[in-house]
Amino acid sequence: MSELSDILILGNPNSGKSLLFNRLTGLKQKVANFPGVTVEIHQGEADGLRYSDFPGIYSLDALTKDEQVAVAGFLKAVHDPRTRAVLCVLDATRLERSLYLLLQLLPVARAARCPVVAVVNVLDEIVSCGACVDVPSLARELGVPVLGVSAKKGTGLAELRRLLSEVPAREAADARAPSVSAPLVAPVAAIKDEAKRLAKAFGPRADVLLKSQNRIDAFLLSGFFGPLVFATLMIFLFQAIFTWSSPFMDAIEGALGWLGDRAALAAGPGIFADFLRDAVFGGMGSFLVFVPQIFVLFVIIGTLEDSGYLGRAAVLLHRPLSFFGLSGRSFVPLLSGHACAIPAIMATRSIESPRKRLFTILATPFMSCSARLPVYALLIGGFVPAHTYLGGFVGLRGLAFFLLFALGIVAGLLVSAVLDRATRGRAGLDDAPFIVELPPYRWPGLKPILLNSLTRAGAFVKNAGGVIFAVTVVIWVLGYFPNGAGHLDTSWLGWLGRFIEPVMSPLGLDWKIGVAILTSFLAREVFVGTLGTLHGIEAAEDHAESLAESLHSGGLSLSAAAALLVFYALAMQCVSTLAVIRKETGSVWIPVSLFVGMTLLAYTAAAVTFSVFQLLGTA
Amino acid sequence: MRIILKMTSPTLQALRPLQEARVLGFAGELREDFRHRLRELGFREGALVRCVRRTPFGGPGVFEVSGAIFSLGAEIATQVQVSEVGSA
Repeated sequence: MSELSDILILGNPNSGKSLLFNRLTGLKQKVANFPGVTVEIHQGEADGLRYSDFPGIYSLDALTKDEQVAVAGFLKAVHDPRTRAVLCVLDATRLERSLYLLLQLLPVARAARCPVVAVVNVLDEIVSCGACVDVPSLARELGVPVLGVSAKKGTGLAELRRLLSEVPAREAADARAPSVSAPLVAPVAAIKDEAKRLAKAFGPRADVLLKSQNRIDAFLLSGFFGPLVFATLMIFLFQAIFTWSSPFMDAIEGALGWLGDRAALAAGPGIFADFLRDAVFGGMGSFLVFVPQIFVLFVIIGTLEDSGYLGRAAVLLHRPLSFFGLSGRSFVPLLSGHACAIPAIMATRSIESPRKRLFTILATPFMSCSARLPVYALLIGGFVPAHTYLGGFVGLRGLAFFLLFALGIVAGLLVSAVLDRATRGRAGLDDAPFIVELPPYRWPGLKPILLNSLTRAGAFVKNAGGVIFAVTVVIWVLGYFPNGAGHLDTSWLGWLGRFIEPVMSPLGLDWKIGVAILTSFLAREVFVGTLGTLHGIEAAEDHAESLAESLHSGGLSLSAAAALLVFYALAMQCVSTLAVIRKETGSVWIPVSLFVGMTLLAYTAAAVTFSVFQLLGTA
Repeated sequence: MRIILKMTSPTLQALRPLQEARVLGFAGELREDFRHRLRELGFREGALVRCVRRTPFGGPGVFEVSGAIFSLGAEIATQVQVSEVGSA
């Protein structure tokens, strides 16, 4: 196979780079995408070209961590002989600022003898405002090929592909340009003036575009409607996770149950059939059921992200979050932390203040991530009645979910506030001011969001699935032997479980749940898989009652269920999150103390919850 | 009272909605890399800045400069000195 040559995609934040990247590579890109801001360099291949999508940058003088990643990556790649061209994405609605970056890139690329191609993206939007960009004149003035495209509508992409494939491959000798890659100290004023002149001469009039944005901002950032809309959106988000996904969850549960019975029948009686039914369908199946909820969460976060609303939410929340030692920019990581803490912690790279970035990293694991959802859903489904109020709009179960999410948010904010107060005035971590661009509002494209959410949910299943399956198999073996199905109490696992029972009794939990908690220190969602497997072994032939029902009949009280929920809301049970924190902070001490602190906090809070519920029950 | 206020030049933080002013310079204590970024975004000496709106709870102000909209927290808006304000 011949060597692939690289196309580097660079541009301002919100210029539609990632959408263009997705369009150019189709769905053939590596699944390395996580929700939140693009904070890493993503690669995808198509037509013998390898595209690299860089995080958005305003200039080559990087300020935040994600910009540093992009600038360092660009300076290295531009001197690499395999790099065929730099594709600079200009935003037609923000032409002056886009050109500033291009004018900074040009001398660097020329010094490395790397060709540059520019595209004017989001043309559809300015055309609908009755404006236009004089693309041919812009190309003449800049001295590089420029194409007008719309990544959203797909116009101009065929021409762009042709242009990129026709860029002559660089000669190896050319690429041996100076390896000194220090950014040129740019005369800001000169480049800024030139960008302004070009934008004025060939671009649309700025005030036309800002008018509609200002009208919407007047509403969404107003003192009364701003917070109201925000609160409504958040409540809607949490309700939707539960209500939209339930038909899909029922369908998956039904299909898996049917398949499991068929498979067990086909395998005939014996160990193999037991294994299939308990470990594969019981263990893995009880985790797969919750994938629709994860998917719905990704869809909603993706929609908010693409519409431009997240920037406004950051502005609205800057003051309130400052009180807790965080920044308005902490909002996006904290929100995507509700999907998964790992990409959320990586998204903190866009926070310019190292101090607030650290506090955001420490608060993020408290957000109720999608791995907690299976546990919440199982226990809420088993212990909270499905009453609805206000004509079905507000459900008791949705409310219980909301309370657990709120518990996580409040705990994270309080921990951050305490750390902030405790370390105030102490040297060590720099602070930096809040500067956020408010991008134009855009109608999110349904198809890219659905596709993206599907890829992300798939990646989640793939990553988590392996661990869960491995744990499930081990648990099954320990619980099945030496006496076979229906003898869980006398199994090796039963023996192990009694060991930890004293620790679990203050929470009102029996040894089976204790074992499930222990296994879930690898990853939370393992809890449901473990319980599913144990339930399968114990029930042996009788699979009529669901896992939630079996918790009741197994003697789990309401108080213990509440304690368990509180424990899961607050505990740090995710090896991958700890690994990411270690990588992002460059410290072992931080993840270790976070783990110990969160576990102690969760255990204490759960024990208190259990006692309070017991008291209420007897009173 | 009025005399005391005039002794320090107004900053972006003092701009009310729909008021415009030109950037004069930056407070002495503002770090060089932040100055640099502000200039790159358009907040450079002589640039015309318009306050689009203030946000609830004394939150960050929203400003229009060179065809884009930015929101600046109080901690940085108080570091950008502007000329006498006038309404648009």
